[in-house]
Amino acid sequence: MTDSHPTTPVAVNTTVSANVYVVDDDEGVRNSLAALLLAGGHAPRTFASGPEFLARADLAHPGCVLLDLRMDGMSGLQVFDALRERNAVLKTVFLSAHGELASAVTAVKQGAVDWLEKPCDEQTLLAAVLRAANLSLEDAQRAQRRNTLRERWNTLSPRQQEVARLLATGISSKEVARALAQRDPERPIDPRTVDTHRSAIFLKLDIRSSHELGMLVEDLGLAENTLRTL
Amino acid sequence: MAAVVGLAVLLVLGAGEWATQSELDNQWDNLRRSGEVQALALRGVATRYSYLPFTAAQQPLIAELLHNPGAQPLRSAANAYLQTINANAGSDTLYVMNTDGLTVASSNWDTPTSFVNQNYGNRPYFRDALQGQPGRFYGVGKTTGEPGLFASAPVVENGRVIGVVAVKVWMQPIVDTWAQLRDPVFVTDERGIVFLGSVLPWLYQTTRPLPEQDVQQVQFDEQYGARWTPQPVPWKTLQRDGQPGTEILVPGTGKRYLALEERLPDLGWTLTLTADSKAIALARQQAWALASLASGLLVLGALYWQLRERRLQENRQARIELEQRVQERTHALQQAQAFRQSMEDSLLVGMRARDLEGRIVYVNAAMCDMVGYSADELIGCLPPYPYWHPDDLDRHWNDSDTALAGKAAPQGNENRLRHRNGSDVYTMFYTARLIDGNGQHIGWMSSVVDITAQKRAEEQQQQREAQLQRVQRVITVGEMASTLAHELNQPLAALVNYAAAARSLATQGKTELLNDSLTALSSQALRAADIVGRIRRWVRQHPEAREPCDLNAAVDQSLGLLLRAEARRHGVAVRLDLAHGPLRVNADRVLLEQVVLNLGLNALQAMQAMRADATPPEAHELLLRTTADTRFACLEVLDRGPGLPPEIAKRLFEPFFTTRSDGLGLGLNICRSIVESMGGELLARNRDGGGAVFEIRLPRIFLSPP
Repeated sequence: MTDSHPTTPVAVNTTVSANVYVVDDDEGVRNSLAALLLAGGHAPRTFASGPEFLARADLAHPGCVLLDLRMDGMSGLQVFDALRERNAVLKTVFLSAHGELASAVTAVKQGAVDWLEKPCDEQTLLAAVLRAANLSLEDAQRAQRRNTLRERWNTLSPRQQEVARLLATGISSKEVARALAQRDPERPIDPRTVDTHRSAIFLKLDIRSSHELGMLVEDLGLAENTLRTL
Repeated sequence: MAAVVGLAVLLVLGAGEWATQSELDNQWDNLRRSGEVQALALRGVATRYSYLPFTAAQQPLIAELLHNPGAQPLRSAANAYLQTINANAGSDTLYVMNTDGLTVASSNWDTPTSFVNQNYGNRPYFRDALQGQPGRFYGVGKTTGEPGLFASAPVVENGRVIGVVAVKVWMQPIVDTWAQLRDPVFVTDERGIVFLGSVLPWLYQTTRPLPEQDVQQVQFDEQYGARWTPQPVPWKTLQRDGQPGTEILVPGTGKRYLALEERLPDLGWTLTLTADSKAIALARQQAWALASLASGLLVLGALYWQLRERRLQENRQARIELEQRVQERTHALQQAQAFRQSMEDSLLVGMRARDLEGRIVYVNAAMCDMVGYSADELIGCLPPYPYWHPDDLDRHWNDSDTALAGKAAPQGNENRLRHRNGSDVYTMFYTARLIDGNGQHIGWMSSVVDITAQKRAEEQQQQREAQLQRVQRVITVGEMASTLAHELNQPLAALVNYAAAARSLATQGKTELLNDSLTALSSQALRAADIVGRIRRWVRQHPEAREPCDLNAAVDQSLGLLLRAEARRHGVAVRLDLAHGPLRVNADRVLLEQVVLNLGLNALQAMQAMRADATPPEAHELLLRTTADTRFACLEVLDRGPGLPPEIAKRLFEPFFTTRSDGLGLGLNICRSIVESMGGELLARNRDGGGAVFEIRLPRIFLSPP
């Protein structure tokens, strides 16, 4: 989805490689997967159980985890839930045995990248792993960009942030001034002052148009919804 | 008995009588002999000096003196002569009288009691001599007053008696000899007057009444003194028939004497000898005593004999009774024997008795039929017996030794025997102590029941059960098909992965990694084969083989087989709480695993029903716990399912009872029969805090003494 924001000025470190994890309590399956991934050019790390994986894997680093659905102790779904709770960027590919379609569908609905039925085709597996890894990397990049924007946003004064959020809705400076005066009659603002704020905002946020501002505010989740309803 | 006593009395009396008679005869004999001797002696004394007067009468000096009585020299000469002769002869006095009876010369002329000038004309001896006859007279001396025997002879001259010479003989010496005799001796004269004797008081007493003239004559003669008067002797005389003498009874002393009279007719005397009849009484008493003793012995003997006879009689009676009883008893025994024989012959149960060493001492017909050997062939046999099954020799030896040691199992021993015809006979042996009539333990009695038919039926039943068990195992595997598929899928998936990796690595030329992958690939293929093999072995029909197995190992095996995978599929954790060390039980390994697996599967299925509920995850746990006490090894399978409501618990082990729509309802029923066939039990109960507990208890075995 990198193509959805091709013009984003945020710098993303595209040289970072994705981690690959294999979590399966069956040693044979685990090791064979590791061998296969190794032959496919990955450097997989293997874990025999969910808790072990959760404790030792770098959940913040983008990557892919091949997670066996049926395991003693913590099941694959439980591990998956734990990852989501911790906002891990890791993408999950479930490995399931025949007849576990229902569980697999549930998992995919909840955000798993894919599910593979054992035994699975080498190409399918490697493709799924690659896709998940890329997704994870993209997620990571997007998150990084949002962090950058948030930092920039935070450099704005509260008045500027207020003005910026109103400008992001696509209204003119006059309308902004009127809206602000209406919101707080004791502090009327001149439309020219709004323009001044606008220039400073554009500078600080490194944007060129109100459209960009609107998208940024949207990204940060600070959209001024209340006005729309008015 | 009275006869014996009578006889004894008669014997005593007879003996007394006989002894009396015998002693009497003896006494009489003695008296007779003694009488002869004493008579001889008396006659000797009486006649010894009778020649002396005659001799003296021939002396011319005497005649001369008689012619001239006044001539002093003649008188002196005659006195001297008489004195000399008298002294030489030893007589008392020798003297001469003239025809008037006047003594003219005497041997004692010089003594104070001189007879000279004494007149003895009244004396019978003088008268006899005067008549020309020799005279003899015993009497008391007129001059001396001393008794003596006077003998006289006439002095004849030219056919005319001119004087008389007399001698007086002193009889005292013979009386003195009599005094030495024990019993009285006395001499009576022709008138019956005692004149000599050893008992002085009796002297001059009469033994029979005297006619008056005799009294006068005696008094006239002054035979026994001038003052003599007749006085009877103080005894009574008894004359008994057939006795040679009389018996004398002396009243004052109470003494009795036998008296024998010895007549001396030439002297006119009668010598009487006596013997104290006390000896006879004594002899009689002795005889009586002896006879009494003998009689006593006789009576005792009789008594003894009588007792003995009575005892013999009693013994005889007892023997007869005993014989009768023996006969009755023998008959009863024969009856009992016949009864027993019929019973033994009719028995289908074999009987075998052995002595303490194990030697067969008895077998009945059924036993012989059972093994095909005759009683003669079996009796006397020591182990190994001919009917022992050659394949079971160890077991036979063991059972035999155990039985002989008195430790045979009271519920009997099962033994396979070999019939003579080669067929197998299955039997049960029940052994008990063989006690003889004295309470002595003499061996062992075994009853032998042929259970071949039962055994065959059991075998068939067992086969059916085994088939059913196998079917149940197949069904179980079917129920776990998806688990099985998963279990197989794992190595297959790994295998596929390794194969892909290998292909890729081969392309990349990474030989070392390729090798590793191929090795891992092989092991995964083997793993899959192993799973298939285990399942196949498990569902395969196999003969039941009991052997010592570890209950813990059976739990592990069952888990490894499919149970753990099945639990995983159910999302149930399996927790093990196993006893330390092996818990050995005698069981068939596969059947034991079947039980564990079924119980585990049931538990999982029970918990499946609870899955929908929002139970805490720790509740989804299957707990397998093994424990042991001294006798039993236990396995508990604990779940957290809905537990066992009473109406279900009641029917839990019924065949074809199930709560599941797809269940056959055979699992628990078969589990229970398996466990029971192993001598154990299968129990079910509710678990504290919810759920159910199934427990199997199996008897422990100890390979080595604990």
